[in-house]
Amino acid sequence: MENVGYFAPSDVGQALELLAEQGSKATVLAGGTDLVPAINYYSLWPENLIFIGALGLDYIKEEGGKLLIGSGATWTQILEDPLVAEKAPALAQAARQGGSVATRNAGTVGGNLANASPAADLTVILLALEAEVLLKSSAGKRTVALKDFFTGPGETVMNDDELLMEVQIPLPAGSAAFQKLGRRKAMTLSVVNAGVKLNLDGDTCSGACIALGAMAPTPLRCSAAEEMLVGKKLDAALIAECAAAAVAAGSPIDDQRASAWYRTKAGTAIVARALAQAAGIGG
Amino acid sequence: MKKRGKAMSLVLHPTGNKGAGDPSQAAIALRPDGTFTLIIGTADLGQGSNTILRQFAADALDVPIENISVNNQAGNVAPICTGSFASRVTLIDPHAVVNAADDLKDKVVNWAAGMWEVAPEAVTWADNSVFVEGDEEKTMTMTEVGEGVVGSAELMIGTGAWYPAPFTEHDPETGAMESVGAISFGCAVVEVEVDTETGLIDVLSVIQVWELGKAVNPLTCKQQINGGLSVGLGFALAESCHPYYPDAAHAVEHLTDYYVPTFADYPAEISHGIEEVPHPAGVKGAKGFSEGSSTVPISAIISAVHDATGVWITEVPLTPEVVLKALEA
Ligand SMILES: Cc1cc2nc3c(=O)[nH]c(=O)nc-3n(C[C@H](O)[C@H](O)[C@H](O)COP(=O)(O)OP(=O)(O)OC[C@H]3O[C@@H](n4cnc5c(N)ncnc54)[C@H](O)[C@@H]3O)c2cc1C
Repeated sequence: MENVGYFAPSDVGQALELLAEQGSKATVLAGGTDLVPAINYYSLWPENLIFIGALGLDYIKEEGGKLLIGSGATWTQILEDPLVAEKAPALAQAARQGGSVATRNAGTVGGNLANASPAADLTVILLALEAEVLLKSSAGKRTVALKDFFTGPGETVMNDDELLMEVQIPLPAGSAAFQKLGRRKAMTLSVVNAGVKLNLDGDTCSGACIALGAMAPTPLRCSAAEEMLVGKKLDAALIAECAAAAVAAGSPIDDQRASAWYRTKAGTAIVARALAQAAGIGG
Repeated sequence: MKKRGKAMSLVLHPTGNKGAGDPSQAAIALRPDGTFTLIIGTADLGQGSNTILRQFAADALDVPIENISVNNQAGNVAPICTGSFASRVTLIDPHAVVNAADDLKDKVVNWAAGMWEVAPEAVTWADNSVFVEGDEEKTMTMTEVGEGVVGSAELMIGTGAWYPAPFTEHDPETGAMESVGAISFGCAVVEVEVDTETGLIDVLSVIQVWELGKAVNPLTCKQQINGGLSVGLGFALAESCHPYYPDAAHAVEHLTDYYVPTFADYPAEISHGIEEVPHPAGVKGAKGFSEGSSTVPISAIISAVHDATGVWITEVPLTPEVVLKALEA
């Protein structure tokens, strides 16, 4: 990496100016845990790095009926935060299963979303929790629902001059669960992962969100499967049927970690487990 | 569904390369302060060879182990060690160390005999000193020897080598061959839990027992078993460069996709057992064993998966995908 420009703005205004000036020549650097491997493995040579770790975006708070998480909050912050534990425990559960202590200390929620990996873990549970992201540029700001955020592997609706500022989770966050299947118990990207959120009226489901990762070019919301649950009492048979429908929405591929066949088989089990966990059924 | 199974495996692990004619050498230098430097060419990649070879030198010289430092990085003057492979170092190198110690003792005894004008046979080497029995005037601590040697024209280095008999051919009729190495005997008992919906295998507990001649350093023996187990877990469950072998598609290019076990994958329970039956080919009965601690868990894991599921899987690694396919078949 020669002659890479490095900027470390100390407030959001400066950062947005830099982004406006440099457009596609700027690459945002948060924890660097996706960016640095990309530089090392795929010879990505950013022209200018803009480090956003000094912008004070690492807050977690509740405001206006939402859980607001600054894009700079790390996995470690999320898994240790008492407010997250209380309001959105499934998010903490997902954060606990990411990478290793070192990557959790450095990696941020904003990076996980902006990197737009179809296998990302925080992303899939946030998608199930119907989170929105706040994007800002020097020209203005907008909020985008996560289900409309991803456009392809590594691609989002964000413009070059936009910064992902904040993740907003509507509260209450229902009864949610996250399940991850990797190739070992730590330091593994997901072979398939699933996030679900159920709104329960007694034992009847009044609303369901099912998100699936590593099964398509983007993290996926499985609306057909979700509809199968609404107005029904959840039991093992319905859960199995719904999990199969959720996975059928995917278009998995073969890669180093697993084949499409495996993702489909094991993915069905993972979705079923997430549903059972959220519904409080079985072990 | 999660199913549990248990199984045992036994291995014979040949150590010392069955006498491929690979030598090891050693040198021991007496320093002016009366301590010693053991100079070897043996690569210590964490297996503890520096530690045990110091132990052998201290024992052969009858001096405290603190008085022996080791240098295995002497570059172009390093004695030869054919290598840290074939679990051979514990079997072969101690012979070279003992020979070097004997050579050094001879030199020092001869030098002291000259100082005292007595026959070398009259000089005893013991207890970190040399002396003539029954003559209180004629005694020197090793510190005094070290100082004294500085003023003499002698460089006190003992050298030694060990060259096991070269490999002999197998008898074409019977397959028999002369056993010039040593065999260690290992046993593993494992319990696994198989997730029949994802194919993931959790190794819950492992017992490993080894007959290894002489546990020169019981702590490092246990650590070798721990380390070998970690290699064995990777071999059995995860490590693969070509997940679609023989198809070369999606060959692994980075360690990110090459799965070695982490501490989290390690069994919660590990017990070690060490049995000692002195081996005639080793110094103090010692022979190697360590590499075997990585192979013995593998067949036990495969058998335990069979015990749990009723299915024999005959390819490694037993990745979740391999397991799920086998369960479906
Ligand atoms: C060893 C290892 C293990 C890992 N394990 C997991 C795992 O188990 N699960 C998982 O999901 N991920 C895992 N990851 C991936 C990574 O740690 C996460 O995706 C992390 O959240 C990325 O955040 P970051 O702050 O490091 O992002 P960075 O690497 O700094 O940035 C990633 C991308 O997002 C952009 N970006 C970052 N922040 C913003 C922002 N605020 N606005 C606009 N663009 C932005 C950057 O320009 C870059 O393109 C792992 C990575 C490693 C190296």
